[in-house]
Amino acid sequence: MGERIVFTIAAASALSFGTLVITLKEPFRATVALIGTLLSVAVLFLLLAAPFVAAIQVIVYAGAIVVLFLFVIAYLGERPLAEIGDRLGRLQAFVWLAVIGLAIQGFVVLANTQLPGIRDDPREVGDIGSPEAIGRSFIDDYIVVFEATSLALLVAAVGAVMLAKRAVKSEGGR
Amino acid sequence: MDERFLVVVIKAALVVFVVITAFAYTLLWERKLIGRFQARYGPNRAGPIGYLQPLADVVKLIFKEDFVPKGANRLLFQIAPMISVFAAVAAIAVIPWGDGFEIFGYNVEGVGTDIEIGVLFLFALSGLGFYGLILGGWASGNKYSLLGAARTAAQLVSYEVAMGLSVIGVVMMAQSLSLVDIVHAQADTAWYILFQPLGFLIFVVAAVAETNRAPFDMPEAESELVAGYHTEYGGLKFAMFFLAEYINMIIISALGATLFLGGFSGPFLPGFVWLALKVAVLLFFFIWLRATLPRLRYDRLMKLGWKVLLPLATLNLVVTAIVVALGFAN
Amino acid sequence: MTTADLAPLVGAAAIGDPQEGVPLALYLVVSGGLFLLGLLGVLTRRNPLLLFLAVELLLNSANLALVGFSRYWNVTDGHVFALVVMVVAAAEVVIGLGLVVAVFRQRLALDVDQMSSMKG
Repeated sequence: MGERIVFTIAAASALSFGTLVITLKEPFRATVALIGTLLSVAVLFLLLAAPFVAAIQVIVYAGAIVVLFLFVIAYLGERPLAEIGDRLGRLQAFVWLAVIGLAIQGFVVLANTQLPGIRDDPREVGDIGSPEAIGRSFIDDYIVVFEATSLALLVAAVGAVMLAKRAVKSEGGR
Repeated sequence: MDERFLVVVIKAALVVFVVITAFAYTLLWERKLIGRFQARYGPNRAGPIGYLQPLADVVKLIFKEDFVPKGANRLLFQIAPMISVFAAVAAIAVIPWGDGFEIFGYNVEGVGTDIEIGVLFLFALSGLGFYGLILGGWASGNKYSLLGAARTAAQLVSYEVAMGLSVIGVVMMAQSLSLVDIVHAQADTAWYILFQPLGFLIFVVAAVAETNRAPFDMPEAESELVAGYHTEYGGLKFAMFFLAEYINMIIISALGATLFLGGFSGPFLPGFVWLALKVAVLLFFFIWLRATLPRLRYDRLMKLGWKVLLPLATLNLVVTAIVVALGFAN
Repeated sequence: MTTADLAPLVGAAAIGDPQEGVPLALYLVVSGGLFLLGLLGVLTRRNPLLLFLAVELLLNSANLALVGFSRYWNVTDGHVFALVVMVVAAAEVVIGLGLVVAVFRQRLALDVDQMSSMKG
């Protein structure tokens, strides 16, 4: 019972904050709305027996990535922004059609899928979300993925430093 | 079921009350200690030896005018201190202060809740705490606040990396992220400060930077940025930021005591007395640093975090990993 | 994999009896909703910063679906990939925001429709 209440609140807040993210015009407020979305999704992760992923979501996504966004926004200042849909002009109707079509398709699939138990109450799970389980999974099954991901991070970090250096040089700095 | 919940609520209220009292007297103790370091008495007028001083301070702050500056974003300006306080106080839930005991027939655990990812929970909360100061700095509508907030946030993010790495060494030795497990592991072997001296050193330096204490308090240096992100805050909201900062200090000292000094374990005396003693030792160290060292310039501060602490922490991690993997750690 | 293969995997005997909670289909509805919101955002936003926020919504919806199915199948693989997605999102944001700052410094307009050539 409690789980259903928490789920309803978290799902509703995730979707409402998500709507705010795509409709607010000032970047700062949209970023604060994103924080709300991320924290709601973290609560949903906790309900799905994923405590480690939820903690990493808060630490990495809400605690580092969004802080980076806020820094850049503070640096850039609030710039004049275009209206929603201004970019699309005549194509706006098609976009809405596509989105509504996808939504209907999604509902149809979910209502008719044959996967057993997907519309019923969930079963108990074993230990899938603990740090130990995730660590074992990484090391035993997905070690290549692990190494490739750290390489990707390294490349991104080096790339960012290079971008910054080049920008400083082009402005006449050292 | 209802009785169990009631026990938890009472326990939570008591623990929070104890921590807030500890905050009040840490304030007083700090002012008196710094006074003594500077060859003068600290405050000693409010009550004998000044022990009613915190009460006087709080009463003064509550009665000050509660204003919102004109160019400020009203909602965020008022929420920001609450976020800081929330992040600081919520951390109390996972610090273990004793083994479980039985009272009136109910089993009471010695910790708010022993979650399996206790250490990660604390890092998540400190990440959320950043928002208190970033939003506060932005919402003040004041360039000094924004600049102070940006500098503070950059400093906190940088030192959190080093702190996280230094903690992983302890986690590897205890084989668990749960704080209660770490305390029990230290009770079985020895305090981890003996096994991880470099880790402890890095943790302490990073902790001083994380709590914005001298010598790392450039973002709130009076001569530089007025008061950084809390320039525009007065009265009760300022009190909330202040509360958040000192409770952060207490929590980080408690975390250091739990991870490196054995937490609540110790002979003869009850658990929470040992924890209080260890926290007091670390707090004394914080205060001593503030009274003694000059402030670090901001670029040197960042260089220290990235070019010194991070490589040292990584080295510590690699050596610990090799030792644990080869089986020498038992 | 046919339904006949799936049945023993998720049969009640293998793991445990169903208990009151939230079915996976509802989590997928939330995930789909977030995905559609993100899609709308990506298609309608002009400012690159706001575009990135919409992309984060897309990635979060994927993570939610991954973790949901991971619980459904009682495996850890979904968690592992959700973590990989988070790391990749972090890397992408770093580079993307670096590019935005670089464009800003060149005094160009922050408009994705105008930043269409790779030169400069």
